[in-house]
Amino acid sequence: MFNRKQRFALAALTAAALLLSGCAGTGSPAPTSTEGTGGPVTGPVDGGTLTALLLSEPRNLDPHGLQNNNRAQALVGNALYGTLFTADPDSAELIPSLAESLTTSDGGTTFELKLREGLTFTDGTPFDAAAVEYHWSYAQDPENGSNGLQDSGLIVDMNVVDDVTLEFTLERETPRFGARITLSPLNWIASPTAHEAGAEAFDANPVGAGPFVLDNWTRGGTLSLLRNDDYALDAAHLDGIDVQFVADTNQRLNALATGAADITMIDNWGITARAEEAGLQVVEMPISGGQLLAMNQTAAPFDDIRARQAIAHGLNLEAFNQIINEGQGTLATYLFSDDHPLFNDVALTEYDPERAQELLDELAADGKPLSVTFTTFQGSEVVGEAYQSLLSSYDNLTVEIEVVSWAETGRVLGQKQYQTTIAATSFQEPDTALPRAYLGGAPRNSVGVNDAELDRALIDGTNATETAARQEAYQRFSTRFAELAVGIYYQREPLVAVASDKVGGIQMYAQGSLIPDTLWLAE
Amino acid sequence: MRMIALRVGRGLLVILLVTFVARVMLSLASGSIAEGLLGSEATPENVAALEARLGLDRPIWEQYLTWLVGAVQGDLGTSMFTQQPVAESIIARIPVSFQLAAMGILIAVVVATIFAILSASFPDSPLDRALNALSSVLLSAPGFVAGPIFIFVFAIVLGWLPVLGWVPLSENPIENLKFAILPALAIAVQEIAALHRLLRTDLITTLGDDFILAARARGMGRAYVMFRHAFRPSSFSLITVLAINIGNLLGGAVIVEVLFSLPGVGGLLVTSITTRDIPMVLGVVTFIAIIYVIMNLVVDLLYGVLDPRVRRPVAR
Repeated sequence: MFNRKQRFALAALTAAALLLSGCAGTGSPAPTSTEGTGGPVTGPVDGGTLTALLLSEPRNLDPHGLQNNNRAQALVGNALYGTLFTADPDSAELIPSLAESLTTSDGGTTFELKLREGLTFTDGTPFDAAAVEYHWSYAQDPENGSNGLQDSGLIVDMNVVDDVTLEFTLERETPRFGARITLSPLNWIASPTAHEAGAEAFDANPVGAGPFVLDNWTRGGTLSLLRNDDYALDAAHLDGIDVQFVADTNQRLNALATGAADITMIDNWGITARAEEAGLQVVEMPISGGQLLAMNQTAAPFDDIRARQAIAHGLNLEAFNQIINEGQGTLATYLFSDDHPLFNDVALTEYDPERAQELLDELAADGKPLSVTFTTFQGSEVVGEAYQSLLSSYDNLTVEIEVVSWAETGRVLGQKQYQTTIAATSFQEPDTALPRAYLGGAPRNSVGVNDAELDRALIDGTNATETAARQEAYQRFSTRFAELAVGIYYQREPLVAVASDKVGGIQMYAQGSLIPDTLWLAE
Repeated sequence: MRMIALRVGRGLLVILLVTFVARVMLSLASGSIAEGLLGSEATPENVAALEARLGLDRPIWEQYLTWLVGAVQGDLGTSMFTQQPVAESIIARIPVSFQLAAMGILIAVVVATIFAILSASFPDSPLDRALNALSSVLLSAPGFVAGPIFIFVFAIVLGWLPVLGWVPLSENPIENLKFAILPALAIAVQEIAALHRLLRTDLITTLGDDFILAARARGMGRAYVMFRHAFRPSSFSLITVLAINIGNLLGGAVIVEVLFSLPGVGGLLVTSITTRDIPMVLGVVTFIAIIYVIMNLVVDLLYGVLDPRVRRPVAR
C-alpha cells in the first residue's frame, strides 16, 4: 500500500506530530475510565444551566455577522433569534419553525414564505414579513459584510403581501432554496428596530424572537443566555445557557471530561475518537462533500489540468488520513455519503502513483516541472506538512508550505491568492453548497473552475425535482469533477457535538447548527 | 525630581517609538481587517471601499499621526472589529492580567528566594546541585509546556482544579483563586528558575565579600548575616529582572491566557493581531509600553532605597 519512502515519511511525520502536540496546546487529555454512554436514558428534564464551549467569540451579536455552522456561533444565533426553518438531519427536508411554510408554484423561481401568526420580538415589535424583507435586503448589500450575501444575492425581488406573507423571486430556478436559508444568517431575523439602533446598542440588547434572551456578555468571558418564556414555540427545557469561547480543541475536551462544561462542537476526527474513548457522548451530523485540497485553476501551475491530475493521482489519501487524523477520519471517496439518497459510486480521485509520475515527467519535459506552494492556515499546518511529505517521493515535484493567519481567508480564498490550500464544501443538500463552490463565476468559487459541462450538471441537479433526475445530474457532476481534477476531497467534514452524559436532546441541522430549544440536562 | 522628569521624558520617547514601529509592522503584515469584516465573498472593490471608509488607504504616517493626536487626548479610538472603545476593552481586562502577574511573580519570588538562600548557604552541596538541576528543568518548561502538564496532573488526573475559565475576584474570591492558581503556576515556573539562578550567583558573590567575613567574625549568626547583610546588596539584579518580567507579565502572559481561556490583555492582543484590528493593537501596545516605562522608573527609584549611595550626587 505504501512505498518505502512513504512509510518513512509517514513514521517521521507521525512522530513529529506527536512530539509537537506534546509541546504545543494541551496535548492529549487522559481519558477518564468511564463507560461510554449515549446520553440520559430518561427525559427530557426542565431546568438547569448548560455550559457550552464554542471555538471563537463573535465580534458582535448582529445575526449577519454570525455563521450558521458547527464551527462558529450557530448556537448563539439559534438561541437569540430562533430559526425560520430547521432541517431533517438525514433527509435535509425543511422543517418549519418560526416560519410556517415555504412554497413555490413555478418550480423554484417564485416563492411564498409564510410566517406563523402573531409573532413578536422580545421588544414587543412585530415579527412580520416586513422584518424578514428588512434583513434579507440588508444581507444583499455587500457593504454590510453579511454572511448571507451570496444566498440573498439570488433574490431579485421581494414583496410583502401581508403581515405573515413574503413573496420573493429568484434570478434562477432553485427549487430547494429553503436549504440556503438554513445554511445562512437568512434564517435569523432580529428586530429591525433594535438592529437599526447600531452595533453597540444592539450588542447590549440583541432583540430576537428566539428561545433565549441575552442576560449578560463579558467579552473574553461568558455569554449568558436566559430562557425566553414568551417564545412562540415550545419553551426551551433549560433555564439558561452559558457560552464560553475556547480556541484550543483539546482544552474543550478536557473541560468536558472533567465536568467543567457540558457540550462543545468538535471539528477534528482525532479528537472525536478521543472523546469516544473518554466515554463522552458523541453526536455526528450526517454530511456529504467534505474538506478538500483546493487547486487554483486561474493561475499557474494548476491552470494546467495535468498538474491537477498529477496531484490527484499522487496523493495517498489513506496515508494522509493516518497523518492528520491518526487514521480516525472518514474518507470522502465519493461525493455523497453512503446513505444519502443521491449517492453515486463515481470515485472523485484515484490513487495511481505511476500515472502521477508520468504526468509530472510530461510537465517537466514541457519545461514546466511542478513546483507548488501549499497555503495552510494557522492551526492546520499538519495538513500542509502531510501533503508535502507524501508527495516528496515524486520526481519533478517540489512543495513549499506557506502558513497564513485566518484573517487572510478573504485574500487567499476570496481573491484566489494561492496555488493550493484547504477548503471545505460540505452539505446535506447539494443544491446549495455545490453551485456556491463550483458554478462558474460564483463568488465563493475559490478554485476558479469554469466549465460548461460541470455548470450544466449543477444547474440540472438544482432544477430537477425528481430524485432519479437529480441523481443522474449529480453523477454527471461527479464524473466531470473527477475528470477535471477540480479538487481533492480528503475527508468528510467532522460536524460533531461532544457532550457529557447528562445532556439530552442534542439535535443539529444543515451544517451542524446546534438547536438550543431541544437541549436538556439530566438531574 | 530632575531624575524622574528625565526618566519620564525618555519613557514617552520609548512609547512613541514602540507604537510607531507596531503600526509599521502591522502595515507590512498581509491581510486586512476589511477582508475579515466583509468575509470571503468580498470583492477587491468592496475591500478597497471599506478600507477607504476606515481610513486605511491613507499613508501610514498620516494614520499614525491621527491616532497619536487622539491618544494624547486620552482617546485610543474604537475597535474596528468589535466597535467597542479600545480603552474600555483594555481596562476591562487589566484586572485579570494584573492578578495573574502578581500571583505568578509572588510565587516565583518566594520559591526562588528560598531556593537561592539554600543554594548559597550550602554551595556545591548535593542540595545545591539538586536545586540547580531543578532550575534547569523549570527553565526548559515555558508556559505552553508547564500549563498542559499542570492541567493534566491537577485538573484531569486529580480533579482538584478547573481546566479553564475565570471567576472575577470581586465575584467570589475562593472560586477566583481556584481558577487562577494553575495559570499563575504556569507563569511562575520559568520565573522561579531564572530568579533562583540570578539570586544564587549574587548571594554567593556577596557572601564572599570581606564585610560578611567581618560580620561573621563578630559572632553574628549565619541566618542573621544572610538576611540582614547579604540579601539586600544581592538583590539589585533580581529587582532589575523582576521589573522587566513584571512589565512583560502585566502586558498579558499571552500563551497562558490563551491556553486557559482567560479574559486578559494578552488574549486581547492575540485576537486583535489575528483580526488586524489596528486601533486595538496600538492601544494594547501603548498600555504595555507604559507599564514597562513605569516599572523601569520604579526600579530606578528602588535602587535609591536599597543603596543610598545611588542617591548621592557624584563628587567632582
